[in-house]
Amino acid sequence: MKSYLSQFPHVQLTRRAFLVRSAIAVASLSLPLSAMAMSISSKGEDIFPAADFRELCAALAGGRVPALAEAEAYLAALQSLGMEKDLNELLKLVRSTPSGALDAAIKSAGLDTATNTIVAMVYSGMTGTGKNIRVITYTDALAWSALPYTKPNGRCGGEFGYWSQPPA
Amino acid sequence: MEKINADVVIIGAGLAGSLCAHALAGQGIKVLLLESGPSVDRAEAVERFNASPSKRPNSPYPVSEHAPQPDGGDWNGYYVQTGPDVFHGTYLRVVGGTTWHWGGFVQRFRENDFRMRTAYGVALDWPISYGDLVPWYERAERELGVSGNSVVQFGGTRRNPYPMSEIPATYSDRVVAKAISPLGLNLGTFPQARNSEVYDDRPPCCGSASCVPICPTGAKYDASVHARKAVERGAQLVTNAVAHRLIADNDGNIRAVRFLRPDRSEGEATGKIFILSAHAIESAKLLLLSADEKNPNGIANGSDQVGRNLMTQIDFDSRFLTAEPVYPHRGPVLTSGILEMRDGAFRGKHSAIGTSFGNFGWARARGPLLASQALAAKGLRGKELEQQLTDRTTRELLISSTAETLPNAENRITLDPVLHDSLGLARPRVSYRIDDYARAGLAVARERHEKVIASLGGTEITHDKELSTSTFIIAGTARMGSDPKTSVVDSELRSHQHPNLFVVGSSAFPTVTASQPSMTISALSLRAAASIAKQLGVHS
Repeated sequence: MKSYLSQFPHVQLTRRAFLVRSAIAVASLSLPLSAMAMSISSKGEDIFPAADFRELCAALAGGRVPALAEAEAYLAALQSLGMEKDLNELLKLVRSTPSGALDAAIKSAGLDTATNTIVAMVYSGMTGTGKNIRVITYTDALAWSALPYTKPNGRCGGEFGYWSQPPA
Repeated sequence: MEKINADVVIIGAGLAGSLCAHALAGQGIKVLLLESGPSVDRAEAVERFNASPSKRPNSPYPVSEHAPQPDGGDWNGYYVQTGPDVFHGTYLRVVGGTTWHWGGFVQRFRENDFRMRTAYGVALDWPISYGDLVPWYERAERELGVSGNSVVQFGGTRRNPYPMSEIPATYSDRVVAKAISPLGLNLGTFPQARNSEVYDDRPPCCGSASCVPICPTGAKYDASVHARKAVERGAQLVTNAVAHRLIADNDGNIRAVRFLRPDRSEGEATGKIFILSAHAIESAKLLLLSADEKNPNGIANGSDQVGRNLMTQIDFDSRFLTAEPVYPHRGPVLTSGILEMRDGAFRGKHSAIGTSFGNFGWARARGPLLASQALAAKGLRGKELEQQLTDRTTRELLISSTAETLPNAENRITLDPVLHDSLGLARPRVSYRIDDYARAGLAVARERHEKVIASLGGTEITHDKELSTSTFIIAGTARMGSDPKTSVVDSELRSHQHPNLFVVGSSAFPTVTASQPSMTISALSLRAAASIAKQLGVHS
C-alpha cells in the first residue's frame, strides 16, 4: 500500500508523527508572534523568560510543553492581559510545591483564574474570546498530543481505511 | 478594453464549468474559462485553515474584495437577507469553486426524484428522466473518480460498478449500524468522489478528517482538477474576471460577456456559445444584471423565473455522548447514511430525509480544542484534564438530518437596489421561507433521532432549537422545463430565449431532493457539453 507514496511526496502517513518535532515553524499566516514578543521587550519591561513559561506548562499540563516559538507567543498574549505578576507567583509555587499539593496551593494563593487561563491557552492553542480569538498554533495545540486516538484535522491519520478500526 | 474570443465562453470555473471546459476542449473546441476569483494553492489553503480561528468552510480560501461571497461570519455581509428565514447557502468564487470545501458525496438522484409530480403529486417533474441521465452519471463517475459500494445501492439504480471500491465506514458508523439495526434502520456507505486507491494521479484518502473545508492531499476530488486538465487540452483560463453583463444581439443570440477586473477595468469576451456556470446565486444575478431594452427583466427571463424557486435543504442536528467510545476525527467527515426515508410514498405528505452521522464530534476541527478550554475553565489540569478530554471527545456524536424543500416562486434572489459590492455590482437580495413540507419531514426525523440516540445509550443530548437552511445546497434559480412560460432553460440546459446560452449547474434543478447535488450537476454538465459540441457541428 505504501508503494504509491513515492509518487505523492506531500502525503505524510503519520498517524502520530506530529508529536515529533524539533524547531516548530509557526505558520506564515499567523500573527507575527516573535514580533509581538520583541515589541513588548522594546518597552523596557522585564520579560518572563520563555524557558520559565515552559517549566510552568510542564507542571500544569501533565509534563507537556509548547515549543519555544509558541511559548513566546503565549507569553506575549498573557502579558498583554497584564498577567506578569501572576506568572511570577505561579512559577514560585511550582518550584516550591510538591506536585501533589500544587492545585491546593494555587487555590490558596488565589491563582485559580490565572492558571485556568494559561491551561486553556496552551491546550487549545488559542487566545482571546469572541471576535478577538487568535490562533497561536492549531496543529501543536497540546490537546491534540493529549488525545491518544487522533491527530489534528488536516494531517493524515494513517493508511487508507485505518478509520474503520478502533485505535490501537 | 481587454478583448478575448473563443468558440465557447464559460462563465464560472467550478464543477459544472470546468467539466464542460474539459469535455469541449478535448474535442478541439476553443474554450475560454472565465472565473471571477483566483486560483487556489493547496498548501497555502492548509496554512490558512490552520491559522483560522473559526475554521468555517470558506476559511482556507483567499478572500477577494472584487468577488465577494457569503460567509458564516456575517450572513448579511454579502447577501441582503429579507427573511423570514436566514439563507445560509455558501459558495466559493475560485477556480474549482465550492468543490474545494464540499464533502465529496456523489450519490445519484433516484428515479422518483425526477418525477415528483407524477409519483407523489407534489412539486413538478423534470423534463428528463433518470434513464436519460444514466450514461452521463456513468461518465461523470469516471471523470471525478468515485468510490462506492456497488452492491448496496445508494441512489438511483446502477448497471455498472463504481470506478473504485468503497470508502469503508468509520468505526463510529459501524458502532451505530449495530445499534440501530434492531430499529429496522440500515446504514449504507456513501459513494464519494474520494480516492480509495491511486486514481487520476491523485493519492488515496489518508483520513485527514478535514475534508470540509480542505483536503490536504487531493484525494478528495475538487474541480480544479478539470480546470487544470481543460487548460492542458488547450482551454484558456482567465481568473479575477467578474462577469457583469451578457450582451445579446437583435436576433436573441448572446454576442459577448463583459467582465470587470479588480481595478475596475473592463474586458469583453466574445464567442459562439456561452455557458453560465457560476452557481445558483451568481448565475441568476448575472442574468438579472444583464437586463436591456429587449430583455427588461434580464437575459433569459421571459418567464420571470430567473432568481425564483430558490431551493436549499433544511438541516436538523442532534448532539450527544454515546455510552461507548466511537472515536471521531478519524477518516473522512462522513462515510455512511441511513438508507431509509430517502424516497417513498410519504413524499406526498412530507419531505424525504437524509440522515448521516458526523465523524467530527460536536464542533468539527476545533472540537477538542474548545472542549479543553471548557475543562480548563472548570479548574481541571494535566492528567485529570486529559482523561476527561479523551473520555468526552471519544464519545461525541452528531446526527444530522437533511430535508428536501419544494420549489416556491417567492423564494428567490433579486438585485438589491441600494447595496452594491466593491465593483459597484448589486448585491444579491435573498428572500427565503422554510416550507411546511420540510418541517413535517424533520419532525419525523427528530423522532428517529431520539430512537437512535437511545439505542446508543446517549447522554447530554442537545437538539437544534431551530431548523436551519443548509450551508452547502443552493439550487433552482434558472430551472429547466419544457414550457418556456414556467422555466428558463430546456432539457439540454439551453435558454428558451437565447439559443446559444446554456445555464449549467444546480440553478437548473426543478427540484432539489434530499441528496447531494454534485453528481447530478456533473452528469448534466457533460450532457450539456455534448449538446453544445453537436450544436457547433463537432461530433465526438
